[in-house]
Amino acid sequence: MSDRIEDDGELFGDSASRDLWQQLQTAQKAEPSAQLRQRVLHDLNRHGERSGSWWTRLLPATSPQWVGLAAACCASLGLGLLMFPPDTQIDQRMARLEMQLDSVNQQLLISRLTATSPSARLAAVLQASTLDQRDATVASALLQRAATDDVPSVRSAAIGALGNEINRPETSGQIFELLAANDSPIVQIAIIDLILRHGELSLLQSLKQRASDGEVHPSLVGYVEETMGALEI
Amino acid sequence: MRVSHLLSPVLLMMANGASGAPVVETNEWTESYEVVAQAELFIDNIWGNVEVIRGSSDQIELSLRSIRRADDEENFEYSLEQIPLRIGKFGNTVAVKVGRDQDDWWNGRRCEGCALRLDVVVSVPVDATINVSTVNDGDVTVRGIRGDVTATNVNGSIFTSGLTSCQTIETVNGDIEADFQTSPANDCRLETLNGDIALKLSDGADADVEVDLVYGKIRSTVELTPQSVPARVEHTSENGKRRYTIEQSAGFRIGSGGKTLILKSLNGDVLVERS
Repeated sequence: MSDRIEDDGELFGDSASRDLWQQLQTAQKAEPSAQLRQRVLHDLNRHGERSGSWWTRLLPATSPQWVGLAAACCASLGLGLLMFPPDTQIDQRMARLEMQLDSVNQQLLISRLTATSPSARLAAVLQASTLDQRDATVASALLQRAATDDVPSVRSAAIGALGNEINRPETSGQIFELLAANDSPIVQIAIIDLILRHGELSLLQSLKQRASDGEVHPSLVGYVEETMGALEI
Repeated sequence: MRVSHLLSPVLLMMANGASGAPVVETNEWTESYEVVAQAELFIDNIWGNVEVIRGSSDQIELSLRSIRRADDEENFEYSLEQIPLRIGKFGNTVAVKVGRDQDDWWNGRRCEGCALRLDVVVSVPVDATINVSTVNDGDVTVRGIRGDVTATNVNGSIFTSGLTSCQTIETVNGDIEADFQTSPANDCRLETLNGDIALKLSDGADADVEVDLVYGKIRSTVELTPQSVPARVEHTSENGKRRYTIEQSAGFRIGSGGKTLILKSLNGDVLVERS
């Protein structure tokens, strides 16, 4: 990133200030003196002599017993690995267990998304929004919340939590169905913001078309057109 | 019934015996009751630990330690009436109850600064039915009992081991550890509001598990088979309006499945492992 400051005529009012800033931009940075360089090199050398590398500290070069012991350890380790190779079954079992836990925890998340308590549903939506990897089931459950939840805050949060999911072909169709089905401007604006923030070009174009076809709330048409104009779509 | 005092009652008058000084009385004693098959233990405690362990087949033995305190001598006398300690055998049930019945709890004036802490260790026949609870400053522990166990707490944890059957294990601010020696013999609910639930099953023990966590997650060192749990439909009626709610919990099977354990926590995790 450039650290150059653009003068728009307001930041630096007079020409004297502008000249000063330009001089500062082009001024050479002060070089360290030869004395300072010498002192730093000297300190570095002294520190290196005192500490040495980790293995020279661990195994003194003058002691051949240490070298022999290390060789014996390496040989034992190698022999051990040959006799008892790493158990691939354990690795497979761990991978299977991890998959099962992911699946159960995902099921748990989906069950929370349908909980009776609105606060539990809202907490689940927020949790879903922080997941690194989401599959189609979670996206579908979020869409379901976005479309049908009784509580507007849960609906809005679910729409926001969808994020990049809206670019999936199966989701993008549903998000426009949702837009058409929701009369509430609050929910519609959440959907529009989601598309404007995360939607790919095709989605943005589709939104523009729907706005001009009157499929969005009249009070939001202007907002969509203005944003599309700013995005040059 | 046999009663023996290990320590004679100690009455301590604090601050030079002035009438406004706190009064504390400590007692330690044991009691034992002969029982026949299918004995039952009932403990309703307020302050202190409750521990139940496996004992001889024909006796319920209690080892008790009580500390009664009040702000002054007058309140101390009043506390005997307001927070009585009752122990007795009714049929084949041995019962320990601290405090009055809930129905008459608010009768009379408030006993300021009064408390009766009771720590109790009970040995019971291995097949006894257990129904124990405490509220504050204590944990509930049940070890090596094959009978049906119900254990509740409010501000403390519940530890169980060697379980074969339970009805409810429930606390509010505490952890739950449920260690099953065999596959659970019946459905059981394990619930805490602010705490973790550790479910341990011995090798070869199987169960179906239904989980309802709001902020926690499931961890396991045991292979689980995710499975769908039937949705639960609840019908409530309020102000003439009917309301139906449908909830579906997450579920999984351990081994080949069996009775259902329902695990619920608001702010805690669930850990599943083999004991």
